[in-house]
Amino acid sequence: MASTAPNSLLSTHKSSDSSLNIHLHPLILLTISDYITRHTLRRYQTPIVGALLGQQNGRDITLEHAFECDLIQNNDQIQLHETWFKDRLQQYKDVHLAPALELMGWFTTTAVTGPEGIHVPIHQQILQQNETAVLLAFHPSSVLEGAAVGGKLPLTIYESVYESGEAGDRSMEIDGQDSPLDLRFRELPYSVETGEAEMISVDFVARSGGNATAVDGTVKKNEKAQASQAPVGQVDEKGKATAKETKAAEDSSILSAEDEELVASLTARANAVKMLHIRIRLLKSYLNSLPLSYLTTPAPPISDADSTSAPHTDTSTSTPEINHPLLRSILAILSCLPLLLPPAHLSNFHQETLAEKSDVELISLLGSLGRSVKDAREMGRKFGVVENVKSQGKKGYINMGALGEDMWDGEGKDVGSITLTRGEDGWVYE
Amino acid sequence: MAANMDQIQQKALNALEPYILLSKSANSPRAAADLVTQATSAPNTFVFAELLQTPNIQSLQTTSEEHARYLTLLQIFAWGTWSDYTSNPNLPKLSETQQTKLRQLSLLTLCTNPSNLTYVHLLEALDLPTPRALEDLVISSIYAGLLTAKLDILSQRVDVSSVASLRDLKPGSIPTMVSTLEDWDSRCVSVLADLEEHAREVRRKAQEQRRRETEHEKAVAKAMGEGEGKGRGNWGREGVGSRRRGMKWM
Repeated sequence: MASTAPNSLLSTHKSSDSSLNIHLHPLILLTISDYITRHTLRRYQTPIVGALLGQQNGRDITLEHAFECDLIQNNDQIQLHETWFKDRLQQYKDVHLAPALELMGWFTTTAVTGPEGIHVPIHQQILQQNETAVLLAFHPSSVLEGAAVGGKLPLTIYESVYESGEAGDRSMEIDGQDSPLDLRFRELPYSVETGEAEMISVDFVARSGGNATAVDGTVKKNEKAQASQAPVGQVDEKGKATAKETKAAEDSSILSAEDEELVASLTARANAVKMLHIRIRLLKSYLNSLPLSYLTTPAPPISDADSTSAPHTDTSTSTPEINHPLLRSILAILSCLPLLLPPAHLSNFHQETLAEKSDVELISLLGSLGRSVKDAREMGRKFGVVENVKSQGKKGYINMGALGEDMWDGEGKDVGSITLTRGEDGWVYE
Repeated sequence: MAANMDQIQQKALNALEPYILLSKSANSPRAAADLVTQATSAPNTFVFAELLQTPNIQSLQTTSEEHARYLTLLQIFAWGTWSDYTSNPNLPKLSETQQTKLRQLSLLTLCTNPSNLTYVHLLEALDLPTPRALEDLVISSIYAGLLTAKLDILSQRVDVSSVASLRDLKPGSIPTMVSTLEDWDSRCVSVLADLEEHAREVRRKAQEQRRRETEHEKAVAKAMGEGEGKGRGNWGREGVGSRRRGMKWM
């Protein structure tokens, strides 16, 4: 298990079915990236290690929280600080009692190849507390290379298995003793899940990113601002964006609050569609770049002779590496496309969209109706005042009285002309 | 690449693997034909492209008519449908399990065209005697993870929501896939253009509004200034001012 061959720790067995199901919560990703950012900015040299908390129900593991850990150097091995770790873990368990969280694993940063020898001692420590501990390996190199834009998260989750040593070790077996069990890591597939409370915070992060993009758009005209219309509103751009906002204060106030929200949501949708578009183009270029020989497999007697390219002379001898699973997955995606909007339900769909649309239009119409009534009332009031001024102005009477609500009596009579007469107690309108 | 395969394909491939290994030693046509039968009767195998590509199976094509049928059969299992099987009289007889498997796989292919999914059409395409048999078949496919669907008995349809990636590609199907992708691509582009148009519209309207407001304010200020200039401004201004106070003098 020397770290010369970095992936000697990876299991050579193929992952069997019905292995653990892992559900990853986005809060963990936020915690990890926050920790890494702070760690890097403060230029700490210690390795980045933290613990993962979650729940386990049989084969389902959820990873919900994470916290960073203190490390000690124990003659060349990096290990967790036991007492500190125990205290911290207990604190977290005390806080999260309602769904009782337990230590599920730990995270650290590794290269893409996988865990290395230095990670094993800590893993052993964690294994003492939980036998099915998982290791979440975060790959900062993938983030730097920009692979994250492709949509795949830069992390891999490993579970550890004890496997009997490789063939080389068997020669050293002594009768009566088991072959030494080596610790191996096996990659696990995971899915991202989220609970309601988390959705709120993730939404907030995403939306404030969206607003940053909206501000960028309006600032476009400002020459000082170097508004980069980034397709994905990153949160770290928000700092820059707020600076631009102060510079171009007048431009950004063009949009009212509702308009900004509208533009932000439109932008979010546009971003999603852009991502989809990029993926589709990727698939298309992959299919186009496939070598021709698959298009005309040796002419089968029953299937359609739909081959468009010229018939190949060499048939079965030179079949290049065709990635069947990938092609099958692509085929499955494309077959699902027409299923999205089944024709039987098309009329229902149209009706419902129409109904919603008319609802929205109706409400906006009501809103504008209310606004115009308010405006008309204001207008009438001002007009009345001005009329008064005109008729009384020459006499020097400045004070007007009884403005406002009395102008309109209950039946909504039109206030055409108002005469102001001096009554017993004051000014009376008629 | 193993990490990219989804679970379902992984399971099917794992089930197929022993047969791929066996095929390396199946040198005679008889053995290869037997292998085909075994592979298609096995419970979890749904994809056969890798098996088809092995040289021993491919060599079946050049051997006698008797054994070449098995290659055809394997091809039907890989990408053909039940109707392909019934329209070809030469193919070997299928056992019960094989028949069910072939029907399930054909169902997967038929799902790609939603207008095919009425009971009537499916009964005909799959040669099933009663709707009950069809429902059983659909239910068994759902449990096998081949598709997720709902049976709409009132309108006699099967509402499929997703299809597993368990059929192989027909030869020559790549151009159609590319054209489907291109359609999708152009739809994306038009949707994007629409969205951007909307956003521009919103901004434009807001700017328009802003412009009108500033003009209005300017006009008001100008009118007030004129009023001042004509000397009646004191009252005019006061009048304007007291309007805001809204005092009641009753």
